Amino acid sequence: MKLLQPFQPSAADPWDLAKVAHLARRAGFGASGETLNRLFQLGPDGAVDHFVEFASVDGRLEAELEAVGPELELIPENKGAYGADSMNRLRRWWLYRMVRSHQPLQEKLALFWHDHFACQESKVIRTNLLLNQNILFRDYGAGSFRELLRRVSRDPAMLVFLDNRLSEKGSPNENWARELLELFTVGVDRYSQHDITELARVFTGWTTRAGHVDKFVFDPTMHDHGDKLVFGHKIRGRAGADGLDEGNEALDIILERADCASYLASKLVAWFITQEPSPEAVADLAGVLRESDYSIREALRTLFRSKWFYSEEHRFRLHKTPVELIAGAARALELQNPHLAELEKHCLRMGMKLFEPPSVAGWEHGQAWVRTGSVAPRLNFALALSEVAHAGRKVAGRASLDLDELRGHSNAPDEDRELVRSLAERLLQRPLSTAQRDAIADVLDTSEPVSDDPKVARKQARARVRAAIHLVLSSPQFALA
Amino acid sequence: MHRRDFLLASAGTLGSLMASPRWLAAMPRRDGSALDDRRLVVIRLDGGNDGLNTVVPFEDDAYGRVRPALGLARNTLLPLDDLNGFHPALEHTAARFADGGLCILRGVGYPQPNLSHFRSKDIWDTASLAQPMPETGWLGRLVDARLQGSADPTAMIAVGKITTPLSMRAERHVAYAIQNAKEFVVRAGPRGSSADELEARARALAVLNSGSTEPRMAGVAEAVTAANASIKAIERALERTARADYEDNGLARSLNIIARAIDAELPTRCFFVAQGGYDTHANQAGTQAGLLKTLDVALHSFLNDLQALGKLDRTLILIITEFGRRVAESGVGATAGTDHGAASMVMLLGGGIRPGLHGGQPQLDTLDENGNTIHDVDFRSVYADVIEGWFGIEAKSVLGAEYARAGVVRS
Repeated sequence: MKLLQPFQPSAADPWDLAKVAHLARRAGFGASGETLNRLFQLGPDGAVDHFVEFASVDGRLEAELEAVGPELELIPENKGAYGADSMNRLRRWWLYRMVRSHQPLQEKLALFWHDHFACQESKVIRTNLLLNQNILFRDYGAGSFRELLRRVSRDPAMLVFLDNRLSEKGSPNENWARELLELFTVGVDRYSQHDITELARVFTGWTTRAGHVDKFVFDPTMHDHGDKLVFGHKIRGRAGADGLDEGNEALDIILERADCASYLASKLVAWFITQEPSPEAVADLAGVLRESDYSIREALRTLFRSKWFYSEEHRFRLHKTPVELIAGAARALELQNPHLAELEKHCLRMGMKLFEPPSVAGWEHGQAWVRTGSVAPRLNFALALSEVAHAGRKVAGRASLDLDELRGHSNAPDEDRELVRSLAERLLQRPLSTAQRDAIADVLDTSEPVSDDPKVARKQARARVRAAIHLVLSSPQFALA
Repeated sequence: MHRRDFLLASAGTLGSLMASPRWLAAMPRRDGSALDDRRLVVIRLDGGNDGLNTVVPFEDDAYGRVRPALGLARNTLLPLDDLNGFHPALEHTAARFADGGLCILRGVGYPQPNLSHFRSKDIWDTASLAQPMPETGWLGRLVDARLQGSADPTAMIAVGKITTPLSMRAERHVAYAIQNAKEFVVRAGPRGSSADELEARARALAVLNSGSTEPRMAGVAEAVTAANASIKAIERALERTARADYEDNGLARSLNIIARAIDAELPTRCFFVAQGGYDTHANQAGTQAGLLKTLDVALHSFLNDLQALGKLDRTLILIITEFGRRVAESGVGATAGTDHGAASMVMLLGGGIRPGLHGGQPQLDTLDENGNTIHDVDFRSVYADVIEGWFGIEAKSVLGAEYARAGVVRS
């Protein structure tokens, strides 16, 4: 291990709130205030474990979702559901989870895998297949990539999306075999066309049950049981039900490739640390993956504990995806009833329609998220969130923000400036420039003079909080994690 | 000033606040030549369109042999010449061919074809097989060369997505992305705000998004500035009325936006739009027919629109795809499809084209080791044609090497 040495706090380089906030932005959707302090108290190793050691079920979240009621009701019993209404429910449901989860890394990893094993609603059609795939990512996303890959290979949404369910001996379909190598395991050009045609033969018969597209089945009558040669390894062809073992063997051969660990490592580094992964970091992380039988949890623990992860050069250098932008803002502002705030629509406008990535390669990340086309939707989201109704506590039937709580209880003479400072800390975890602070303060200044009527004055104060939220969220700082 | 959708740029005084040096030279410097108002619209059929079932060599016995399930019956084809017919979904496009308004070039590809969608698109976008690949795209380099000394944020526009293609990446220009006709106006403040309040917020948005020296933040801010500088011009363009009926689908809406931008004479040189879905590994027959029908009708609207505007002869439309498809089918019967292939076809419409069916017949008995057709024409020869014939620039300066012109664009 050359680069990913563990971070050791020292007088010169202490464990501090800035590092905790960096960890929370990368391993989750950000944190501020009390949450940040609690994480700080855990120390560097404890804070990292807090994120990576999540349970398979977030009990409190599930209970909360139960209580939400009909607006979030999924279609668990209705296997035939498809189309905008059921898909939008699924999108709301997932965004709700991202906003309210107590184990945000679980959701962030589910997003990573959705981007990695990208399947499109427009082809998969059935909502329950995509729900099941999403649950798969949540249940197995931090475990061994070997197990995850095996399950994805049998996942009905994937079998439909990449047509493998139709692939049979004689004229196998290469779609799954190609993307399995190019996008899911070893990376482009790290294989020959021959490997693809052979792999396609291996996976013939991996299909879904007739009439039950949500059930994987191996159909020996569709399977090509001749011998195959994948990456120079002979796979003995097997007739009957044993033909299924060929696919498992092929996956093991792929996972043995050094390219596979490197490719996965580079994707993890790009998603969690930097869009320009250094070869040393990728090599180190690939080593961790190989030595831990591809444990994603151990890989992330090593990454997040490393001194390299915390280095200044990585802070605020990742462009947030629209989902991160939305979930981060909603969490920081403690948005109540997030499923009623049309978050999924803002996500779509910003170019990230969940369950409909632009291609099997997932979304384009980095600078792609901040080009001209995303400017209006992003700034309009900031405004829309600042306009959510005010409520001092959660009220049924509408999304709300507690603007009084967000305003704080400052009686400082320079109340507006304090408001801007505290919102910047909450939303950005870094200061605005003097010019930026002044610009926001100017807007707050131009509001009407404070009324003598306390009721009107309270309303005015809330309007100033709204303006400050809108503008802080519109800063370039907020687009970065 | 009391309109609800307040534009950041609607107050003249904001210009200086928003200005970063990069965008100050707002208007392109016109060189006064007759080439000045020529525009290129690139339509990419994403996923790899099956050229063999788009222009069908019905007289070739091999065609029926290699396409037992997907083969199109001769009597359903739209005649192009004695040997070839168009896919039946391309009704309007076939009529245009008959009228001398369409150029088809078959056998287009590149050496050592890469069967990855993404690598192949990168190769088409950068016009290079080099690794690591160039950081700029061919359209970006073309526009950099064409518009000397200017950097208009609308010199290149990609429509339909939030992002811009690699083909439009340039050293001096930044391509503009328009996702749809609704989502590009910034609301500066809440509904019901006074004009003064809106103005103050717009000013704050401008200040918030300027002045950073940190590259990532400056990049975010630059996009805000560029969007802001163009919002009004684009909104004005979109207020114009189409001269043709467009269907309600992504491609048609995007082409409508492009026609509006051309109508408004935005200083745009290159437009880009993609139509996805051509990756027909299975169920190809119905899928491809549906996509080609959508393309055919959208093109028909777009061309009629441009014609009515008197802009058709100043607009060149280039239709490309990242690769063709495997000659042999995968699967059988109704669910048959085709895997990734190599050489395919390009089509050109509008001004400057040499109409007709160009390139040789596909050699279905002489395939490469992967069972794909072998290309006769390098796609960069088509680009060279566009660059020199349509834009009057030396192609080598954009493509980095000499390519014989394909002869599909007039000089």
